[in-house]
Amino acid sequence: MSVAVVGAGLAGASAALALAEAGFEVVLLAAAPGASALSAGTLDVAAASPGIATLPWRDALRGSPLLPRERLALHRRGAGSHPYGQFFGAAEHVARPEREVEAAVARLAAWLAPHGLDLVGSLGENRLLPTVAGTLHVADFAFHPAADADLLTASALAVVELPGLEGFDGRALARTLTREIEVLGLPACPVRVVYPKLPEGLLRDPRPARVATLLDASEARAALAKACEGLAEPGAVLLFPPVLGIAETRRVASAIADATGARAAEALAFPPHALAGFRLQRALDAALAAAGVRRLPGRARRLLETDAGTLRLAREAEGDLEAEAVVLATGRYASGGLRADPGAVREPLAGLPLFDADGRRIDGIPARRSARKGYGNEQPLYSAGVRTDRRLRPLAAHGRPRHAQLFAAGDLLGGFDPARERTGLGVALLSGLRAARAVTESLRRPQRRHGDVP
Amino acid sequence: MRGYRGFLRELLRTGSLRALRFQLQTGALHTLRQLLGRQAGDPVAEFLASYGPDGLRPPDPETRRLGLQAEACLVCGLCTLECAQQRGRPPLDPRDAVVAAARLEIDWLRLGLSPSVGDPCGACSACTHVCPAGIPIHEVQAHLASLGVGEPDSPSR
Repeated sequence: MSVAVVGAGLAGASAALALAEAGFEVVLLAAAPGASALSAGTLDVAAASPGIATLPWRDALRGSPLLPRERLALHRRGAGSHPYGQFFGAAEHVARPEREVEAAVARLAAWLAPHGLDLVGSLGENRLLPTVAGTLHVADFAFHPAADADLLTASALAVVELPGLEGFDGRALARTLTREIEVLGLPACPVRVVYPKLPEGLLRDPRPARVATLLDASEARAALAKACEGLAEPGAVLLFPPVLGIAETRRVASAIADATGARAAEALAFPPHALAGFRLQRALDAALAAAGVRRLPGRARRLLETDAGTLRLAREAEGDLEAEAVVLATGRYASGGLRADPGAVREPLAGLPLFDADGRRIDGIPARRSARKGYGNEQPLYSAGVRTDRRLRPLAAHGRPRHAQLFAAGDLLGGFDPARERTGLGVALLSGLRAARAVTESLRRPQRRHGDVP
Repeated sequence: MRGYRGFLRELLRTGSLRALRFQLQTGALHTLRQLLGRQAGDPVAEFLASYGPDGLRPPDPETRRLGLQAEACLVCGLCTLECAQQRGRPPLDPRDAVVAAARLEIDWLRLGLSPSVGDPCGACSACTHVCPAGIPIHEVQAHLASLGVGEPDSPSR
């Protein structure tokens, strides 16, 4: 039995990995890395941000920080259209969603660890992680080495300045971070800037990606570790820009930690220097290859139905692809999962109806007509996506699943704004695994008549 | 006549003689050239008559084709990351190359590109495979190299 997954971001990859583990023959169709490859270094399931009122990180009454599990409950109760609302319902019992989240993250961590990427965290603790801009991000789960920058467990923070490095200013980071700690009323954590005597040639090409590639070599990382000796005391954090290797990140960080006694960590960074996302995509690709997922390059053009009622994917360059079930994890605008053409917004593969967070249909009308005036207003286009039944099968215009064996996962699911709510990777992971489970259940039980609702 | 309207508006708004002189030097001369050098029917000849004296040339079809594709760039930087992973060191960083290609028509004289270092692009096409916007980045690299962009004394610097 073969299942086709379209899209290789975190949603598509976790669906494909889970399906391969369940014994299916999986074909992954991917034109390019997913939006996960642009992520900053955290995997936010229940996001919070000190700067955004709709993402509270403190309890309004008690003033104490909200734990991720409390925020997860807020997400479920507050946002009716958020995929979490559909996944977990508004039930007061928090245990089941918590178990599902922690099991999903543990599963992902086990897939990634053999390929050099460590994912840590829990719903029971917060991490306060600095960004390259000097602001703070409240994270539940994070990837090494960004996870090690946690301000709540650091005695002091030494920002490592790499003069001339593209997209990084250590002194500005330290200044902003000092003020941020003050304004948010956090426990005092001294922040200073340190200037290691850098190995010859490390910054000849000032792009973080090139520096990281150089540091993958053992001599270069030994030289950098030696240069960092004495820059920070044990228990402190040596905060680097995102340059600590790509394939050998673990070794780079531990070499520096061994030489200094301090924790070597990276600040969260954004495109075009999103090294953390690139590492995630790299590890996912390696895990997919190890799991025996067959990967086909190229873009899907159209999802069709054969005369026998099975699904067929027409591709742009190669021949068609038939599958017993299809998981669409095509993302939104940047990856081509949704198109905002001048004439109309649409889902190009199957022409699925699209809904915004308020449940209004917004496909088929020009993008500008659904735009709301005013700075900072929620924009319907940003929460647009398909609607599904409880088993993640996208609904057609008549309100029933479009096809019994068609599933959707990741950002393609509508009703939330991944950039504003910062739950993009959390939704991707949970929905990817849920879609895989739905496929498994659906293909392993006697086939229903096409178009039936369970 | 657009040049004249702009100049009148600018003169009324600022009342500045400097603006008047600037407009005479640029806008007015442009308009005069456009009026005198009009060659009906041939857009390229018309373009050259108007803008040729300022050093502008219409792009060749290949520059235009790649430039239009390059406009889809999201500036996500995945090509740079992938290129570094493949140990490539092309004279132009792939991301810079795409941005350059998208701006080649309008900003040919003002591209601030980094100087030439490293080896010629090996055309391994790893950058093209990771591009979410589907831009043929290795073709852009080859084309810019053929135009001499990124070389130490290229017109871009």
